Amino acid sequence: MTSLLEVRDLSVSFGGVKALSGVSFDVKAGEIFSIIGPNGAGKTTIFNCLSGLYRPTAGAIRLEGRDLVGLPPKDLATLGIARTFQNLGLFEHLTVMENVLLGRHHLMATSLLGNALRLRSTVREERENRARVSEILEIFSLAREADTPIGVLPYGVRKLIEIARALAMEPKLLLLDEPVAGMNHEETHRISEAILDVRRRHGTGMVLVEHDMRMVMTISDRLMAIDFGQHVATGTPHEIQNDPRVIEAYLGRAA
Amino acid sequence: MHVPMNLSATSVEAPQVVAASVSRPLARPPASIGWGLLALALGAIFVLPFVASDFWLSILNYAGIAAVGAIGLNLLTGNTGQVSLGQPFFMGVGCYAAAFAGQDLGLPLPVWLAAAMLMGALVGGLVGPFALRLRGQYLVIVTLGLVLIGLHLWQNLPWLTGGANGRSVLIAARLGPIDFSALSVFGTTLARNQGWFILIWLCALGAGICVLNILNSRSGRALMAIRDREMTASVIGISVSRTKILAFVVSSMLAAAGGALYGGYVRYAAPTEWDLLLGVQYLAMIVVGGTGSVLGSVLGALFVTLMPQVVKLASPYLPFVSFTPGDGGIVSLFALNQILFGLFIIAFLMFAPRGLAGLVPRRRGRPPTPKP
Repeated sequence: MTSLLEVRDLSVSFGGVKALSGVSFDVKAGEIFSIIGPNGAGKTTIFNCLSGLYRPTAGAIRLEGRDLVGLPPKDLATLGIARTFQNLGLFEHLTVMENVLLGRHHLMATSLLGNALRLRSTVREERENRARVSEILEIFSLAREADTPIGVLPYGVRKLIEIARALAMEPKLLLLDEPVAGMNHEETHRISEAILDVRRRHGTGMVLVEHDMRMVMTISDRLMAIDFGQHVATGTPHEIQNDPRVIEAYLGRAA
Repeated sequence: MHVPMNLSATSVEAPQVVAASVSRPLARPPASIGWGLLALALGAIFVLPFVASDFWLSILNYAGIAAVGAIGLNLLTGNTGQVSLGQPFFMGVGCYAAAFAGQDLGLPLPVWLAAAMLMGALVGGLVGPFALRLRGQYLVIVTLGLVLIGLHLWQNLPWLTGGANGRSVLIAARLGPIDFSALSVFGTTLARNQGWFILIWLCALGAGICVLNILNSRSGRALMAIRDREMTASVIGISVSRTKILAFVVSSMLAAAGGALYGGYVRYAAPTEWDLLLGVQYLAMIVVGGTGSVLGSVLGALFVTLMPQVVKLASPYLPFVSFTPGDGGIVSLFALNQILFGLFIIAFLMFAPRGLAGLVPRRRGRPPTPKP
């Protein structure tokens, strides 16, 4: 089985500070792969490299064998990488529908001139994409909120909308940065179900960064633990839970 | 082998699903301008010329010209978040392009208007990449410089602009058999102000509808995404610099259309028309009217153009206004206007950040736009 995503010896330094040193991992299509580690371990740094916001100091990132290092964020989105943000990346003054439609921007092709004149192609494209977004919103039970501006919605709902938008991009690889941070048990369950549902329906490969260990251990196929920008261990949830190196990184050296 | 992503596959293999969802109210794209508002606007455009006095028509004509430029600026500043002082420069570009095409070459209305818009878009497209590549408010500085360069340029291109003395702009407002300068209705020939009112406000309506269409489309959502979160916009696949430049081009194009209408209406243009104060006034229009709102641009243009006239009418009843030195007043009419202008801007920013448009009850509006 070939890998969807290959990351080899990824290193990032900011000035003299090494945020990541030589991290390697693979994600297979349809796999839920989680990255765990204490705060500051480098999890979000990996995401920022994968979405083109940081340029790695060294190493390779390949999506379906294609090298991604140095490409701007826009191109990575077009090639099939979508992400959500730890602190939410929604457009607060736009409605839920408009936010999720924006995920489909790169799948739409009409020009500004065509849009201004509201040509038939524009109306058709708009109608088709709104229909598609309506379906996605229904999967997330958000159809009722479609025309509500983001600014008035609660935090938990916004987290779901961001996942819905990432999904609307029709990605090959979905990067979820702390999707259940700050959520209660019920909301966490709702998001876990949504993530599993996405995988079941679309076979999307996913990389998950999350501190909620119960959630991570339940839905992940494999995990990678990192600490201080370095690889600690990779394995199944069972292997990771019983790995002495991981336990040490989290709990400190056993007395 | 990896399992292909099949979101698109579902819509391909099951067109009936799409068709079914189209019938849902959710899936229908909103009409950009409501029929009610369109009827109201058209009614006003064709009734007002027969009701309003010649004097007020001329004032409303200036307001309509301002509305065209303000609609453009609001797309750039209110919707894309890029503040510009450059409207006067592009109005100049449009005015001289129209004068050259319409007067020097003797070409008709559609051609001089198109020439003006094309030149506005072209110059905007040339300047845009330099002004918009960096984040932050560099555009304010670049467009400020642009207006100053323009003032110098207009003084020194006598073959085009008439130099410091200005030039006549005698361009035909004729569209096929219709001559807006002497419109004939049921055998009566209308005054110039009446015909130009219809022409100018039809242009403003056209600009408004096009911008509303943009805002309700792929392109418009990209603009607003950049305004709200530039980095996220790039991560979801929007080309940030390209999109900003497009907004700047549209804004410049509409300013140029306004400049062409201004020249044609006034029949004369001096280089000093396109000064920095005008650029500030355009910003004031969208702040007072409502940032990010097309209706706001129009209301703001009306407000900024009509206010001095209202103050002038009221001034004889205000004891503190002086008309001649030594008549006991403490403030001249000009100064009073400047003071009120400033006070209104501050008042709107503090008490009605969504501008006049925010005070209008809405049936189904855009979500609120951010405070400027």
